[in-house]
Amino acid sequence: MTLSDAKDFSMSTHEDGLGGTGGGSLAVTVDNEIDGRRLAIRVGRAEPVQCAIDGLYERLGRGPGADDSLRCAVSEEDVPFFADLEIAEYRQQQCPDLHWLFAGPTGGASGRPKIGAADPEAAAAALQQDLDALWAGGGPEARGWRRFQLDPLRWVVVMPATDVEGRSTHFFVRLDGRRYDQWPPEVQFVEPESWEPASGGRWWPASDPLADRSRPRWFGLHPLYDFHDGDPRPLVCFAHALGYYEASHASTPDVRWVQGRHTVADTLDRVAEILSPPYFRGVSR
Amino acid sequence: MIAIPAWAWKAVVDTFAGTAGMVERVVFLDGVAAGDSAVDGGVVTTVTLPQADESEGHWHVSAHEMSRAGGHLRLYGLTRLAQVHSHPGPWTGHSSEDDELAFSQAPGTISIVLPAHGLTCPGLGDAGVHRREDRSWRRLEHDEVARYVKVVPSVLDLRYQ
Repeated sequence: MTLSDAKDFSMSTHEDGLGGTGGGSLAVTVDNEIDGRRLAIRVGRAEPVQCAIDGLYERLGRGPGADDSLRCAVSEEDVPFFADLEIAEYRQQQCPDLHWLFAGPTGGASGRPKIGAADPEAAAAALQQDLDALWAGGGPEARGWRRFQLDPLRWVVVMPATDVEGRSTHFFVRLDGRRYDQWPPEVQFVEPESWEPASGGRWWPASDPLADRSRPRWFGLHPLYDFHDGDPRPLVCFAHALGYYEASHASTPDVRWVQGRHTVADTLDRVAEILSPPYFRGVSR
Repeated sequence: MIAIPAWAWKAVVDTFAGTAGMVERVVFLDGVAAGDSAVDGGVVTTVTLPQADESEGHWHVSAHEMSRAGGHLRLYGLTRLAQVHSHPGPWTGHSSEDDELAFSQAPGTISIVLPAHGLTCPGLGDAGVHRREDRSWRRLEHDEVARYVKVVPSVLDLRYQ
């Protein structure tokens, strides 16, 4: 915001005949509390609140984050809660000025965390114990998962995958517990002929383009990632997988792997989520 | 171009050096924008210290704390012009986390990284100065820095003694 802009802090709801449906459009004013800039997002009167939210993130040049805060400036009510409401109805019922406040987390890190070596026997025992405990509950079998062991530290879990249109397939997920459970297991999608990592084709899930707003920000699939050690390899990247830390990816305190709190069950839950609607888009071509 | 008054830069360095414990720290440089876009720069008037979760290798400011750290921007009509954070060693590059979680991804945004937790009284020449370009962050070459960010005198005493 410039000084000239700052002179006008009146609530700014605009109606005009531009675009939109149902007789014009409405402008939502968003004060970005992170950088102090003010944005105007224009949506058709009959469009849902979600359209304005999408427009906001497009202007911000980033996707939505789980920890973001977007609220009505007057009522302090959470905006995404009303995402399905028509914007005109939302204005009438919830936020008369259509004036929102946005904030999101920031952070940084100096680089790769120190990932120390683990005792292989202890790591293998811890991984097997947690997998046994998970399977003993019956949940994995109910979800169609099967598991088998490659060697003391490595297991393969066969997981079903379903896309938004209900088409089903399956993937082989290799878990490597070489740093377990101080760190999460390494996760790789592997080919059944060799149990070596796939980086495309039938055994690699479709990697959504970064511009896809439905792609969860907590998960990334990199067919070939340039690691610090100079050995490019596939990276299945989320906070409950070892590669995430080896690649120095973001690790905010609320998602970071915590020994004793997280187990391989959390890792598999996350993989299953990405292999389900709305995220899973089929196999890579 | 962002103009940082010398007093403001000193406040940043003093803040980092005054840290109890060897942890990464962050401050934001707020001020009067020269235009509507981050590429326009501006003049720093205010050094903002957010309530951050700080550790040896990471720093994190929650959305709630970013909201608290941004209330004065609306109140005084200011804009966040840059962020400054410290690294523990001599490396002043941008990690992937620095890239992803910087305060803004708007082209022209400036992020400054100080070495050694800022304990060596670093100047801009010792820092890594990073600029968000259209698609990614880029570290500015030393001879480029002054085009985008500069420390300017706060007081000039030109009187003959």
